[in-house]
This record gives sequence, C-alpha cells and structure tokens, in this order.
Amino acid sequence: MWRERSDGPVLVGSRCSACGLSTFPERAFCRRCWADSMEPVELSRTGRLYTWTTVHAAQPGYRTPYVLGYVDLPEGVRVLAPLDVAEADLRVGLALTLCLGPVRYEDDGTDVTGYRFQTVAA
Amino acid sequence: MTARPVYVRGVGMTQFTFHRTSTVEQLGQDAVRTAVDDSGLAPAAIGEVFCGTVLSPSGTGQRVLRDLGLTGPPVTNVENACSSGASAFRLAVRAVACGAVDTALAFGVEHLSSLGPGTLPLPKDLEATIGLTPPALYALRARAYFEATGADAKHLAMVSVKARRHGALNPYAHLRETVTLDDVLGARMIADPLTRLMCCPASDGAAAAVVSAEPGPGEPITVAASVLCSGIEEDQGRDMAWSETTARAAAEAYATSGLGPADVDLAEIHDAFAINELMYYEALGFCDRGGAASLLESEQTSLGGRIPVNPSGGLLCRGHPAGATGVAQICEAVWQLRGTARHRQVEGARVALTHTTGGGVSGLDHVACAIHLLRKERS
Repeated sequence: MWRERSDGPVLVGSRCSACGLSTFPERAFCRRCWADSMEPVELSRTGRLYTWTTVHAAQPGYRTPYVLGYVDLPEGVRVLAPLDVAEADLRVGLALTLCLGPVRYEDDGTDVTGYRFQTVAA
Repeated sequence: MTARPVYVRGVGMTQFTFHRTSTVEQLGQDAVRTAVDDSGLAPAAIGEVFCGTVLSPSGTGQRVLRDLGLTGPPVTNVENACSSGASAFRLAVRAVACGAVDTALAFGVEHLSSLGPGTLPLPKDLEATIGLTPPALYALRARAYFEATGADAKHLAMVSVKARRHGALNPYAHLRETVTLDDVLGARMIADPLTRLMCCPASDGAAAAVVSAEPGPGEPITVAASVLCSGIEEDQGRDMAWSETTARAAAEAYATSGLGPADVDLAEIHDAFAINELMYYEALGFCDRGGAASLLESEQTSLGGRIPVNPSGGLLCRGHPAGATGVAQICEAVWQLRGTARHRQVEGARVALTHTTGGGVSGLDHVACAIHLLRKERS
C-alpha cells in the first residue's frame, strides 16, 4: 500500500482512467464507472486532519495509548493512520505528512512497520 | 411495503448480563419459549423462523430450536452486524406481510462473555489492522460531531447518566446502578473522549418476538414500518458527524407509515456509545441538525419528557448482546405499548420506534440500519 522512494514514502492508491475517481487502498474496479479502469497512482504525501482520537484500550498487538486520525488527501481520499502529533497540537485542518514507523507488533514482539502521519516540519 | 397488516403477538427475553454458566442455546430457548407462551399461539402455528446472531456458530437458530421441538419450519440465520436481530425481525414481518406464512418467529441471541473481556474484534479489514476498534471509531465520530455542533464530553456523560437512570428501573438490564456525571467523566478512558461508562457492555442474552397476521386478544400492536438500509460509499469528504444510513432509514419509515417524529411516543435507539444517541436524535428527526445537545438538556428524551429515548436503559445500560439487541428493542416497545413496563412506563404510549445500526466496513457509515415503528391500534 506504500512505496519507499528516495525522497520518502508514498501511499499507493488508484485512479480511474475514465471518470477520475481516486481510492485508497488500491482497487481493481471502478465502483462509479463499473469498469476495470483503475490504475495505480501515488497519492499526495500531505493532507489535512479531519478527526482524531487517542486510543487507550486496544486489541492485542498495539501499544497504548496511540493517536489515530483520518487524514484528507487532496485527491479526495480519506486515510486512517496513526499520528505522531502531540495531543495538544491536534486540531481539525492540521497539515500532516506521511512517514513510516511501527503500527503494531507480532506475537513474538517484532514491530510491524506501516504508514503514519506526522506534523509538517516548519 | 406491508401487503397485509402484521401484528406483534408475543415477546420475551432473558435478562442481559454475563450468563457465564448458560449456553447460547439455553439463552435462545428461554427467550423463544417466553415469546411463544406470551403470544397465546401454539408452537405448531409458527411457519418460519429467523435467528439473528453475529458471533455465534453456524446453525445457531436450528440448535436453539431443536430442543424445543420447533423443527420442520424453515429457519434462516441472519448476520447483519449490530442490526442482525432487527434484520431477523424484519424478515419475519415480511414473511407474514407477503402471505408466505401466517405466523413467524424472530429471535436474536449472543454469548459475548465467552469471547473474553475487552473491545470486540472488528473484521480484519484495513482500518482494523491499523488499530481501529469499535469505540475508537465512535470516538473519531464524536470529535467530528463536537467540531460540527459545539457539543462536548459533558453531553456524552449526560447520555450515560440518563441511560443508567432508566436502566435502574428495568429488571432485564445488565447495569442496574445509577451513576453521576463525575462518575462517567472520571471513568477509565477507552478512546478519547469515550470513557468506559460511555461504552455499552458486551453482554449475553436473547430476545424473541412472534408476529402474526391475526391480531389476537386485546389492543393489537401493528408493525407500521419495517425498514432496512445499508451504508453508501460516498466519493469523498463523508460527513462523519452525520449518520446517513439512519437518516435514510428514518425517512423511509416515516414515509411508509404516514407517521412522523412528532408521532413517536418513545424510542429505543442504538446507543452503543454515548455519542450515537446525539447523532441519532438528529438523523431520526427528533431535533434539527446540531440540536441534540439542547434536546438532551431539556430532558424531553428522559422518562417523563415528550419523547423518552431508551426507557429500557438502551445498549449503554441494558447491554448489547449484539444479535439480540434489535429484538430486545421490540420487546421493550411492546411492553411500553401494552402499558406493562411498570416503573419505566411511558404513560399513554401508542407509537414506538426501534432503531439498530452499526457494523464497521471502511468507507461506509454503517453495514445496516433497521428501523421499526410499532403502533397500538384501538380494538
């Protein structure tokens, strides 16, 4: 669902070559055109925070507390991701940028790396 | 929709609690026997059965019915997330309405304590693997709702206090003790702003209802609307402060019944988390958008108010054995319309609304929302 490029990670979604619908994660089929017209596309790295929560009670495999947020990307795609943002800084519309880091851990304690969002550097 | 009138003839449920020594079959049998006895009909009158359950094994409906001797009629097990029981009830109503059978049974059953403590697992779709839990999803929606309306955590606590005040009067409820605003706000944080006392307990229990084309003795209770809607994936910018599935289902329920929110004397709604109650006041048309906190503060949704919401204590207090909840709401509605709800009775109730909704599929407001309107007719 993401690629590491020389200038940092990017999320890979898809875009319909016929109607322009964007999705994340990638889909093979356009639900709007009802056609096999989706093509992989790298999504914008920065977006705006729509809503968030700090999770204190989780399923096994997650270190609590952690902050989750929905981030709206310019393509019209909303992505749920863990956030590396101080709680006091959280607000609607906050500009965030993609990064990688641990999102959970396996039964043997090994971290699983995934995409996250952090505050845009000043 | 209704091709011929459908009457709710009998209801029954177990208490919702941790039934650690009971099996899912025993719970289901208890509720089914009570409902069939309550209907005054012979078990042989039941022409078709629908069983709602989310996390029970395959064939649960048949397993419950076998030891009651209720074998032979077609049995369908229904899974539709938190609306499983209400979906089963709707199918029973439709089976009678269309004339396929004259009498049908719906029941819902769940044994959640056998899954262990903590939040229930979501299906392993993408968002769950990122750490989304059911309370986290509603915490995210609560934040969006606060931003949209100016409501805050105190209003969520007020919902929980009201639920406990009502549920303390309900012998079927899981949690029977009242709580204060400080208790709720100071409880362990689950997913900010939702504390433990703003989240429903995962209970065990069962509920059943018998519907029939024949009204039976006494003032008959008809199914005035029976609606199911599933979530729509919106292309972008979904407004998570608004429950589009509930709003569509409510519009259809009001349109098909000729009733409106002003006709509703009481409502049993899906307050799995305290934020839901505020969102659903708006989606059900009990107030305008953004007006839920004021409606709550006015106490018009408390017992004694114009439209008591969750006189049973709701999911927050009665508990939420997922597949059983929708049918338990039907039980409460019937008792209220009969005037047998004792200390939690809504005086003079003639129209009751029940509402279940839920289910986590990324991108959708909800898997399914079921709304029923029950009306007491003059005999």
